[in-house]
Amino acid sequence: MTLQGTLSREFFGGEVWVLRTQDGQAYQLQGQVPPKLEGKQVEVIGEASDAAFGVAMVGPILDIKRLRAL
Amino acid sequence: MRRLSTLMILALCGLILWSFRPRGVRSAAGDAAPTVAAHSEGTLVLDLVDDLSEEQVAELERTLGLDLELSSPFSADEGLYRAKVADLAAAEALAEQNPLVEEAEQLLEFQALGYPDDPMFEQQWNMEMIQVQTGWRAGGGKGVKVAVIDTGVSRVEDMEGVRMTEGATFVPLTRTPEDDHGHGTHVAGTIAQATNNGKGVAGVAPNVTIMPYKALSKQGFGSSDWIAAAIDHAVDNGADVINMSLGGPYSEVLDKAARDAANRGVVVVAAAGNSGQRGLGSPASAEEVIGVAAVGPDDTKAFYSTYGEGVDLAAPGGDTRNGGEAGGVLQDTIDGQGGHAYRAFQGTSMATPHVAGAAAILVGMGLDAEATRDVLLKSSQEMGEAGWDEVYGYGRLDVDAAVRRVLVRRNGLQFLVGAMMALSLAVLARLRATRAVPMIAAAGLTAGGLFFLPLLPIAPHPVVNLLSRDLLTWPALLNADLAHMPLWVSALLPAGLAFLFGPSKRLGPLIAGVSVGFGTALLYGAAAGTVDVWFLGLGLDKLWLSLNGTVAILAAMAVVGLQKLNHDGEAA
Repeated sequence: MTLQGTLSREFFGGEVWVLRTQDGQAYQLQGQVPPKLEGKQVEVIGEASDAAFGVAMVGPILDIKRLRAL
Repeated sequence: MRRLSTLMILALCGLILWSFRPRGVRSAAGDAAPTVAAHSEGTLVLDLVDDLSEEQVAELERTLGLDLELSSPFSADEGLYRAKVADLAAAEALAEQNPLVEEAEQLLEFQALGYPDDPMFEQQWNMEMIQVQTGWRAGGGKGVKVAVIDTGVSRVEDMEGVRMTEGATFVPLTRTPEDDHGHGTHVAGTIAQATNNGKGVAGVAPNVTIMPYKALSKQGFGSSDWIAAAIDHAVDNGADVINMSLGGPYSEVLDKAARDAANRGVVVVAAAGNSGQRGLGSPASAEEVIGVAAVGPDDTKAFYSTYGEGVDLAAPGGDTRNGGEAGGVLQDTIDGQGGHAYRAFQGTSMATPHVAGAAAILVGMGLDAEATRDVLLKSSQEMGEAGWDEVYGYGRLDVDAAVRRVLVRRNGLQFLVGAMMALSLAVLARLRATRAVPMIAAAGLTAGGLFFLPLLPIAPHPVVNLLSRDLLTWPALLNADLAHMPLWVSALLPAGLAFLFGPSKRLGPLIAGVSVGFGTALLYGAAAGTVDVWFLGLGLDKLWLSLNGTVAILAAMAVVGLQKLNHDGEAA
């Protein structure tokens, strides 16, 4: 799936990268995220992770396939 | 003798009345405010006039010659400051003359006799919020096994001496449940960090045995089948409580595993989530699971806490966004470089282990899973709307209230029944002119459990813990399950002791007292449904307890009879 939103670095028992889309839905990103993109509008192409459970619990977990700044 | 009996009854009444006293805000020592000694060093707390500007505060510092610092990151609005002073009395007098100071007084540390001595305990606002110390005095979860299903648990410095099983890992390519993330160790620390060890921080139930399970990867992720497998493994290996500071979407596999665990008598606790929105996922949403929401240091909903159906309780989860480090929940965990570090985390992950620890304390006091859940929910501090609401569930966890509820309502009543039984037996013994009346009465009362001991503002001690419980629950100090075995909750011990030592002049009165206390606990357990007997269902458990309780009391009476024969023999 392809999603657009704001990227933020949040802390819930450790660092977690979160994509918040315009409709208010939060997605937790799994994979490499360049720290310089913090706070930026990005587009993420990803798919729902098999490991769908975790410690951060901010929203659905997405495995990043592609990530780019808008 | 009559005087002694009267004194004993008066003392008993006094203690019972005392235990029903209205609760103070804080339960530990310091009920009587110590007077400020002249020329003594210390910390002064100043309540300043509200809404002072920074310049006004700076001016006040110069006038008073004090270095003022905020009492906590959240006390600016209330104008609460503290300052170290060389002469408390003089500084207090000077401060109180200043019109910008509403109140000034010596900082009182509300800790029982310097307990605990963990140097960072005073930063653990979360422990004070849930009033944890009563739980420590009530055994701190001794004999109870708590499974932590998480990223693993490492034995960091402040986990030294904490009991831990071997555990297991369900994450591919890992061989042990060692933590490689930091989350699981932090969570385990909240449950059972070594307490009063002169190091670091404290935990809610430091006497439990932690069962470490790794079901989440180094990145903090896991699949439903890994977690479900960990739940099954924990239940099969005797877990009494399961902590899951994790969550995700709805999963029938996971919910079923959690449900089965709860149905097999395990207290299952899970985090509500950190979405800040409505809608819990698995496993917290399962009805049988205690879903835990989070409050910040200001005791209101944390910004991230997920709400909705499935939230049962709230507990301190911290808020580092508004409070910085001091607003988080502080525990010892791995630092990612082979060492350890005290880290302040936030999240419903942090709130959940407070509830798991509290549950362990109650299980350690002899409650089964159902009663534990019931007491936790009913004793919580009402928050939000009356009754249940989707933000706080039934309210915010209160360990002091939970323990008090069990001690006073359950053990207190049992103690009263036991006291009457023991005194009746003592009267019987007196009528039969035996000499050991005080011994019978004392042994009878002690066997019923001196329930009020944990309510006294004293430092926890194993002997205090032992004496505060009835004999039936003594084996629970080794393992919570032992106290439910049919042969233990039977007349075997009292009748056996009566048979072996009943005629003994020295041991006889002790055995009579123990038997009457034991018998009372069995009968009370049958009447109040407070004793869970394993392998006996369909009401057979109550029949078993009643019959055995009666036999134990008869055994006590028989021993008194034997003592009379002894006495008569001597007289002849």
